[in-house]
Amino acid sequence: MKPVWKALLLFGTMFAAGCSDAPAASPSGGSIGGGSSLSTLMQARGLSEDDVTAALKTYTPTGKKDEYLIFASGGHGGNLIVIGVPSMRILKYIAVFTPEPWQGYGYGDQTNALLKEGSRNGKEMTWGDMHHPALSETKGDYDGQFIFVNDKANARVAVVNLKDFVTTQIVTSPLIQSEHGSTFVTPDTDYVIETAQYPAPLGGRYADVSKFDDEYRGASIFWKFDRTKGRIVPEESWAVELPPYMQDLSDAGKLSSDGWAFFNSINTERSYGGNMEGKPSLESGASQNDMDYLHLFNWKKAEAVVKAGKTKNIAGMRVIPLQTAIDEGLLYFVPEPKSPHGVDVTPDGKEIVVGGKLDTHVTVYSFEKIMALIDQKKFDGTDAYGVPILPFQDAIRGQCEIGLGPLHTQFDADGNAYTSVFIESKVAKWSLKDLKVIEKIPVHYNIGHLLTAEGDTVSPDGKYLVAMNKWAIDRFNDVGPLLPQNFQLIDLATPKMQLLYDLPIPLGEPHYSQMIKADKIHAIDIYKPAGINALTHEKDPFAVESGQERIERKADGVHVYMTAIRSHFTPDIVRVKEGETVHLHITNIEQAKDATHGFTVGSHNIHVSLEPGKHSNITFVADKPGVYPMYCTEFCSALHLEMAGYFLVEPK
Amino acid sequence: MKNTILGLMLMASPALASTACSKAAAPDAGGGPAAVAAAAPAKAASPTAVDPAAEKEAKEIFSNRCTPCHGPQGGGDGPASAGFDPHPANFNAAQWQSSVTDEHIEQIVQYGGAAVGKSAAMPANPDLMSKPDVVKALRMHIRSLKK
Repeated sequence: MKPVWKALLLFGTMFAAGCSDAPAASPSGGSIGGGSSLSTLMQARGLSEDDVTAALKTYTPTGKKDEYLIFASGGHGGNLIVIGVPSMRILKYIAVFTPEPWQGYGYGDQTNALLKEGSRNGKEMTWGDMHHPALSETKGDYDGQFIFVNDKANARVAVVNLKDFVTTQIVTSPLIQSEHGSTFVTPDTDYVIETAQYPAPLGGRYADVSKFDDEYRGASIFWKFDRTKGRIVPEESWAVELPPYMQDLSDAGKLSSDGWAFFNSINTERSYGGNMEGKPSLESGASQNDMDYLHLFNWKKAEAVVKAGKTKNIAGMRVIPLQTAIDEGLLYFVPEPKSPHGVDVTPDGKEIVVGGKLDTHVTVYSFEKIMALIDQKKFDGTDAYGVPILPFQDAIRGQCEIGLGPLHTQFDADGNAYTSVFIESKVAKWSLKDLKVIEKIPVHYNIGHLLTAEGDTVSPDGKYLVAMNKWAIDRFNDVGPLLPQNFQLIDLATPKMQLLYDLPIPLGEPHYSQMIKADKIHAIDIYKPAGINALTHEKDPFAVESGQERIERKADGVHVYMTAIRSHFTPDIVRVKEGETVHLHITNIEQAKDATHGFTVGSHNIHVSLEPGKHSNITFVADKPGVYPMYCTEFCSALHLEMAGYFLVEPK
Repeated sequence: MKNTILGLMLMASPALASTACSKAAAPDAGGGPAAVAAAAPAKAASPTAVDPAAEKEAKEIFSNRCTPCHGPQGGGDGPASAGFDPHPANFNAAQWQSSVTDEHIEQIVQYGGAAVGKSAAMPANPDLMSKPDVVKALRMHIRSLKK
């Protein structure tokens, strides 16, 4: 081993020298595997010195764990992806908005009921368009307890408990029909913010789109979160009506700006398409004005307005009418250039960074200046709905020329900001103090969001950055016309940013992610005592103990109380009559780590995952007589194949 | 808008020069416009000569990516052109050809319309930023479509 290390040290020295144009030196004497030297391996695989350092910075030997965890949106998959950093190993897909077979999510009673909670207009949604996960925060810092996610297409928000990485709640309001500024949490997770995207008549009413200015509205919902219960409380939640400007991203103020929330907007033109009706398509109609409006919303004050009852009930949600928001001094605008995208509050809470998208700058707004302008009532008039507009030049500290298509910004511990530059396919590192670009690094390709370690909190670590690229084009082997997306890991700890690793993500549009220090997560590995319902984290009323297994016939059907332990189900023969309703209650009574069983009855579209100590209920009608094998679907032991039985449906 | 973008392009060159020693970035340079030019000074010196392989790739790219809007003969009349306002450029028009510089064409091919003050509907082609020969061949092909 010693010679290898020598070789690596040699590399290190060369790096310090930097900028060497010389071909890779061939340190001799190193040996890896079957006696081939490091330099031979490098030559054979066509690797540069940078490639080798990238490998050394990311390679994580068996048994070693990652320093950070990424919680990445699973995009169209409607699930959440957990990825280790720096190894970029995928650790888990957490089922959220869509059925997921491994976790038996949507194939048993508890999770079926959960997915049903997320129905829209009585219709169960089996896909989601997940955009922005938000880890729960305490004083503006990730606390590792919960994560919230949104579904843009169906205006849903879900709560995932990080005690066991399981979704426990889905909420949705018919107030809005789509959303994008979601999910973002206030600094102590009092509220989870869900801001609508495409304006529509509030509450699901019908009005023709030609009445856009008068009948269509935006809105932002403030979902109240009860940390002790781990649940959103819809009855204590409320919303604010907004003009139909296509509110885009949101962020909550923190520290000095705590109590405020910021939403940007992309369509103050109020264009609504109609390219076959003699009107411009939305893409050009919404891009006419040089400025749109950054929305400044005082949610702390709004909370008092809600308590005072100055709300209107729309589709079961208490809504602060736009006029009330104006009258009570809750809502102000400040211009922002031009069809902007990201709005990100700096770690100290003093400034708000807006990415220009169609403008080459990021604009840095001063919260202090904004407050002074509001105090002095220094407005440049109002918009068409009467919302006061603050003068742009007096509200900003300055702008930083970033490049073509600046979108989202995150931060490090040293006062630097990192902005994704979509059109140029680059990440720009810039100084918050000087508003000057320090360095740009190419990424591949069409970067959307980016994230740095804890990069949107009050104390960002920086260290690593992940570029979430929409297109991969030529980065991977061809797999047909539908290509994976490309997460690129970039090292921020070195003076120059270094691209370390490409992780293909084989699903559509995983928009945003957050990266948390792994030691902040304290997940359980076994449900204790056995019989726990993963949705409530309490003992299920139907939990079964060893020795209590039984089959009971009741008015509502046949109840089968079953246990699972390596390598048998008890009972392993179940006899029912054609047409009977069957209630299976299965407890995995194992208490050993990773001793998970799965359970299926063939041809019934049933599958549950039974982690050690977990209890699941399954209800179905045995409508087709026959003989159906039931078996354990997880390879649990040497006698796994024998962990099986018969489900017999006797004809009438 | 135009001025800020020109300013950006100018500003970009020193910044990029200072990062130029990164060997890792070299194979897929993807630098700004200035970096692309700097990466291939020898070839840029000869604006009409082009590598046959690059020419072949450029023609394939033209027929795949450009023709849906700009049309197979570059008439601005591709099958997807109708929905655009402003309309896709007509490369056949002598007036359009004389109104744009070679640099403008190479910029818009790589960075899209927003980069040169034109419609943002013209997308960027980020993978071509590391292929100056192909960009040059595309520009020459576009020039050859003048009628």
